[in-house]
Amino acid sequence: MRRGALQQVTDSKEKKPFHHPTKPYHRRKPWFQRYDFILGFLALIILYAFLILPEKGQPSSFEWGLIILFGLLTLGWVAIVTLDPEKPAWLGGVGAIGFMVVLGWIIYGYSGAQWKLLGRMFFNRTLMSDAWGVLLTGLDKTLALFVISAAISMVVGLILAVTRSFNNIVLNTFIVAYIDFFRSIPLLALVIVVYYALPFLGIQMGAYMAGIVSLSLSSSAFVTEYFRSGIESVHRGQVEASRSLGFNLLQTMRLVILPQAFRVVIPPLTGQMVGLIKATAIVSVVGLQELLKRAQEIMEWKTNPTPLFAVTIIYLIILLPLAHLSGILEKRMKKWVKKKA
Amino acid sequence: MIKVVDLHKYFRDLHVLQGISIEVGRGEVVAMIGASGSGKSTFLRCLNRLEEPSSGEVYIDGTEITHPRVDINAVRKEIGMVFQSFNLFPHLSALENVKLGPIHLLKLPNKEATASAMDLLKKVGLSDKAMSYPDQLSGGQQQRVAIARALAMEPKIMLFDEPTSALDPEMIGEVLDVMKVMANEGMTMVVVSHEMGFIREAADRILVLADGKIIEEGTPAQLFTKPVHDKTKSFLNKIL
Repeated sequence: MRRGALQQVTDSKEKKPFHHPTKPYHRRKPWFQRYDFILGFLALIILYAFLILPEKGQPSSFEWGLIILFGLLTLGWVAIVTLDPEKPAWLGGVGAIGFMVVLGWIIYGYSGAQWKLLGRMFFNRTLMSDAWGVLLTGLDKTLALFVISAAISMVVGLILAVTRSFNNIVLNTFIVAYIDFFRSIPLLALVIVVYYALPFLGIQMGAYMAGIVSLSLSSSAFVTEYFRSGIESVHRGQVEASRSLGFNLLQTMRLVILPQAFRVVIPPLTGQMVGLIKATAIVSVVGLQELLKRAQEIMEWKTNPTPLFAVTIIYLIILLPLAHLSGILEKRMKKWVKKKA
Repeated sequence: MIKVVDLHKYFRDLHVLQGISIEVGRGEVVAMIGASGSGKSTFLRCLNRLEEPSSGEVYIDGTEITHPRVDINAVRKEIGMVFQSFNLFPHLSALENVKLGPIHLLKLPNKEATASAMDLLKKVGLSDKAMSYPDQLSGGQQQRVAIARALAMEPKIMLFDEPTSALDPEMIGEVLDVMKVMANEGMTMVVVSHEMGFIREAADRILVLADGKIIEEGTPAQLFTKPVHDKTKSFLNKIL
């Protein structure tokens, strides 16, 4: 017999006894979210840690399997706790911290690292007191490389993007070819080609110059694309309003389109600049004594990797504020998008 | 003031304007009506060459602006335009919107430009909103700022492209009031609009467009009481 819609409604009414009698729409708690199960699970994990987990040191592949299973069990427990909306928030926090402790323990216990060497090899202060001066001469080069290539790529990128928006077919073909070429070639390859291959054509330049040239070529291709997308994001009506007042194309660009485009472009542009600072390290392959190269030299000379560790910290100190600068700039540019107060 | 001779416009194969010729005298207010797709907006945009006419001639104040050697930017300074979607510059305050043209095109010093911009904002009833950004203004307020922005260039002609059709009903009146004041002050205006109340009151002449041609023209009194063309009749029936 074919069952109609009405029949189904009465069916669902028959199921009512499954719900809590006073709260008809209360969700029934599944078995795995009850406290007894969660506590049992936790006990199981702790037992596993004491009985099954292998000794510290370098585990065999079977033991790695056991370790990974342990990690997954812990993750499963944390997931059950945090995904239940009725559990108190602190329990989720405790679970997450517990999971990170477990992860840290796994890395500490089984990576095979000799942790007692950590202080001497990574945080060797007596060694660094000699090395700072040398490192800082590298920092100069890194920053100069960044500032010059950033300035060049911004100017070139802006000019190319504006030129492209005028829709001249011949010029645009060249610009697109330029963008495609330098966006797809790996920067490492570009630096090596500029430094080692171009001299065969008679174009000689030092490592410093080769770095600036390759970074600018590559970065300006990306910057052009960002500016182009910013310019295209401005509504057509803006151009019409500006032209109808009597502004020419360049005035329209300068007074109406670019101020609006900049706001859109700031986040990707900051990302590009962060990338550019990181990319300066690549120029070390052609022997430019920038930050990374200096650190490597000191490491070889002192046979201690502390300078390398110091360099990562220096990069961090430079880059973290830059990421926040983007947020500040965006906020300032956004003052005119504020909603009605 | 405006003279158009046999204006044609094609979009690829589409013959949007099929030979339009009109003359508009100084101080005259001409309203254009017609079904959507009849070519009203395209025609209006040909008058300041936001749309390039395919053939025909447009004279503004005796100058042929369709001539290839004419400086179109100089011509556009004399022709204000108000758009359906306002198109205020969102990164500038109301005041900055109004004085952008005078400062950069008329080369007025900032002080003078600010003073006359404030006068214009006062005229459209928005002197208290001078520092607000377009996002903070209602549609009607934005459109009034847009009118002030166009007036700041001291144009001889004003073009209105459906200035009230993007507005909520309660804001239409405030914009039309400003336009009526302009009409009374003797501004030459070409208005694409379906606000019949405004047209009846302010327009000297109505042009009815259909399929890229002017099928009928006359004073509001003539057209509203005894329209001749069948398409005019059915169009008026639909919107009145």
